[in-house]
Amino acid sequence: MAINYLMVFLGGSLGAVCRYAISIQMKRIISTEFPLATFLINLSGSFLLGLLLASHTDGLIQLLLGTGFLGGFTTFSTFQVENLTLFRKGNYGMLLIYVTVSVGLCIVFAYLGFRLGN
Amino acid sequence: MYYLYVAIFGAFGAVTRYWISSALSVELFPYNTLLINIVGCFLLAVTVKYLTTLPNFSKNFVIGIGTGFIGSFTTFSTFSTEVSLMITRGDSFLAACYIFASIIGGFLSAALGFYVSSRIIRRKEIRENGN
Repeated sequence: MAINYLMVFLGGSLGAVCRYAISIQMKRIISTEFPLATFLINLSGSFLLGLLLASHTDGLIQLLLGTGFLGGFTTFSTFQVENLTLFRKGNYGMLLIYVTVSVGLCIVFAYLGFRLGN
Repeated sequence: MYYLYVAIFGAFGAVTRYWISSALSVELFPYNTLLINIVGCFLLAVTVKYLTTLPNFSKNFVIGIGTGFIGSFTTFSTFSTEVSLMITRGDSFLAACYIFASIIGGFLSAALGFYVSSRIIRRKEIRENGN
């Protein structure tokens, strides 16, 4: 039991650090209204989680890489706070694009991950 | 230094998510992920809007809680793989309900977090300025 939590703990720690590093670097390179960093993080994380789940690897590896790393790497709360910020700025067009593209493509990419892993 | 805070808080965010989602194991509809994501949206809004105004909270701590703990606590990849699996097994209606509940629920929850935070800030200002 404790080993399960340890796997999630280690993976989650690394996932959060990678997300933080990528979003800082992206903001430094590209200045855009569109929350590109969160979008790319969620998109790649969805694909990789689909791939991992389909690959039927060991339970502990799934906890380390899936629940821990990819769960911690991708984020729903930042996505929604970004949506709210776009809404409050009156940037409704961008809001609609961001929600649609994030939800739509992440589901498609998760599916592609599953297909590729099988 | 921020990285250390994100690493430690992020680890605890993931563990808390794992703990809650295993305690509320589900069969058809992922209430556990939905609950985690909606609660997290409220908490992140409060962190961004309110905790940043508190002088006793260092920037290290705010980034640790917001980006680390809450960012890691909520998850997008689990959401999208769950939707994908629901559609694949033919539960498209359930999948649509899940998407709708997550998007609208999370947005309103973040909005509530902003609202509650600005009410608290306003009340404090009135108390401190006496008007």
